Amino acid sequence: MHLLEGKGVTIHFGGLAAVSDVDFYVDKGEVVGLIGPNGAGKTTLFNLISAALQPKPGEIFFNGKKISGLAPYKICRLGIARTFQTVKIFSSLPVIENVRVGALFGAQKRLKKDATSAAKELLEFVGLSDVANTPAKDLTLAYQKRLEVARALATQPELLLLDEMMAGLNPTELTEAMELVKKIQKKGITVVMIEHVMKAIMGICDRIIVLDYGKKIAEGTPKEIANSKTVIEVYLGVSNVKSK
Amino acid sequence: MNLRSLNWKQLGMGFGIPLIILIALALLPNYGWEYGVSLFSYFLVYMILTVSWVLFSGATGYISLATAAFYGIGIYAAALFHPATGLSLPLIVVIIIGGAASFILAFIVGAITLRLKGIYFAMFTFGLVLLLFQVINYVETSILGQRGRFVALESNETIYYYLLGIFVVTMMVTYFIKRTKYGLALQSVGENEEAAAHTGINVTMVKILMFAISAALMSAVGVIMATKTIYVDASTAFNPMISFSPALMAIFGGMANLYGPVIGAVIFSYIQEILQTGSLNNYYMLIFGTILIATILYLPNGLMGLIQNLWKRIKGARSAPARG
Repeated sequence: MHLLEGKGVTIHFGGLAAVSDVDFYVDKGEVVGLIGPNGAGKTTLFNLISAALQPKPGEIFFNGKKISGLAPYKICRLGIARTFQTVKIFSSLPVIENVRVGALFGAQKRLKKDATSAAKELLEFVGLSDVANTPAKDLTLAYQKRLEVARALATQPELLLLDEMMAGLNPTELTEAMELVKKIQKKGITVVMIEHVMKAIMGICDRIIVLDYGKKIAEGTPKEIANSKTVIEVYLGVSNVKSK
Repeated sequence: MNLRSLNWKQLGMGFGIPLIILIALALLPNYGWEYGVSLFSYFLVYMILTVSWVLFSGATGYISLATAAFYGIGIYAAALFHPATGLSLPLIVVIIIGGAASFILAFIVGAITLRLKGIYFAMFTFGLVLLLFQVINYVETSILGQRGRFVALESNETIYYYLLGIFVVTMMVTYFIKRTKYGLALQSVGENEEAAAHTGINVTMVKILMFAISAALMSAVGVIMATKTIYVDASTAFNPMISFSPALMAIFGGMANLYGPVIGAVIFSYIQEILQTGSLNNYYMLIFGTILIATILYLPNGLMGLIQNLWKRIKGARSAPARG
C-alpha cells in the first residue's frame, strides 16, 4: 500500500483543466519532486491533496483511507502538513507562537506545556531559536519559509508538502534549505516538494513527477527525468531539441 | 530573575487593580448617588457590548453589525418571559433563555454566513437586524394586532447589579478564552485563515462558536435593559445604533488588549451621555462623527495604542541616559 495515492485526479477552473486525470503515488520515506513549467498544475495538485480544493472527478487515498472531500483541518490531523508558495504565516504572532499553533492543533494534540517544548525543539531543528520571540513578520523571507516548515512539522505529519521552499533564496540559504529537507527525511517524514530550482530537485529527490498543462507527462529518478526527451521538449521547446 | 516575585507582580497587575475597581463598583449604590448608578449602568451596557463584540470581531477581523439583533432578542425575551402582567419568570432564567436563543440563532447564522468575507459579512449581519425588525414588526402589527409590549420594571439598583454581574462574566469568558489554546486558535484565524485551517484548526467551528458566545452575552444585556423601560417594541429593540456603537467604541479604544474596548466604551458613552443631555444635543452626531474620523486618521491603534506609545517614549527617555 502506498502512503499517498491519487487516482484519476482532475479539477477544472471554468473551461480549463488545471489538473487532468493524474495518477500518482508516494511511498513512505521518499522525497518526491513535483516539477513542470509555470501553470502546469503543481500547486493545484497540492491544494487537492491538502483539501483546499476537491477533485472532480478523482480520488486521493492516504494510508489506504479516502481523504478527498475531507476538510483541511481533518487532513492535517490525519498527518499531512504543508507550506505555501507565498508564505502564509501568522504575522503579528511571535515565531514560537506560530509553531505552537501547529503543536496544539495538529495530528496528535498536546498539552500546553508539551506544545511549548515541542515548539522550542522544532525552532532549534530549523535554526530559528534566536528569533523565537520576534514577531513573524519581521523575519527575512528565508526565515519565514523555515518558520512555515517548523509550523508544519509541529503538527507531527507523516507527509510534508513543500511548495517552492527554495524559490528566492540566495546560494547559502539554498544549501541550508536542502540540508533541512534531508534532515526531515531522516526523521522518517515523507516529503513531496514542488520546486523550480533544479539543483535542489536533482540533489535531494528520490523520484520526480513532471506535470505539463495539468497532465502527468513523465515520472522517474532524477537521472531518467534529466535525460527524458519529453521533459526536455516541455522545458526547452520542440524546435530546440530537433536542431540539436 | 526571581520567578515567584514576578508572578506576584503579574497577579497584581492582572487581578489586583481590576479587583479593587470591581469592589468600588459593587459598593457604588451605597454612596447615595442616584445619577451615578444609572450613569454607570449605561457604561456597563456599552462595556459588555464592546468587549463581547471584540471577542469575535476584534480577533477574527470579521466585522459584525448584528449586535442589535442579539440585543433585541434579549429585549424580546424579557418582554415574553418577564412581562408587566401575567406569568413572570425570574430575571436570571430570562437571561439564560435570551442568551440561549441568541446563541442558537448566531450559531445557525454563523454556519451559513461565515464563509462570506469582509464587507459581505458586515452587510449580511446588518441585514439580520433589519430582517428581525421587519419580521417582528409584521407579526405584532398584522398577525397579533398589537404594537409593543410591557415589561416588568426593575429598580435601578437591581439593573446595575445584574449588569455588573454580566460584565464580570464577560471579562472572565474573554480572559479564559485568551488564556487557553482556543485564544491562540482565534488569533491565528484572524491572522491567516487558510494557514490556520491547514495547521489543524477547525476554522469554521472556532468562528461560529465565538460568534455565538458573543451573541449570548449581548443578549443578556438586552434582557436587563428591557426592564429599565416599561414599554418595548420592534423599533426600540432592533435599533441600528446598538450595532454601530460597540464597533465604534472598540475602534476608538483600541483592540490590542482588554483595556482598550473597556476604556473606549466608557469614554465614548460618557461623551454620548453629556452631548445628548446637555445643551449641545443638536450637534451630538456631528461631534461624535468628528471624533471618530479623527480616531481613524490619527490613532489607528485607538486610545490604548496612543497610551502605549507615550509610555514607551517616557520609558525610552528614562533609560536612554543609563545606556549612554
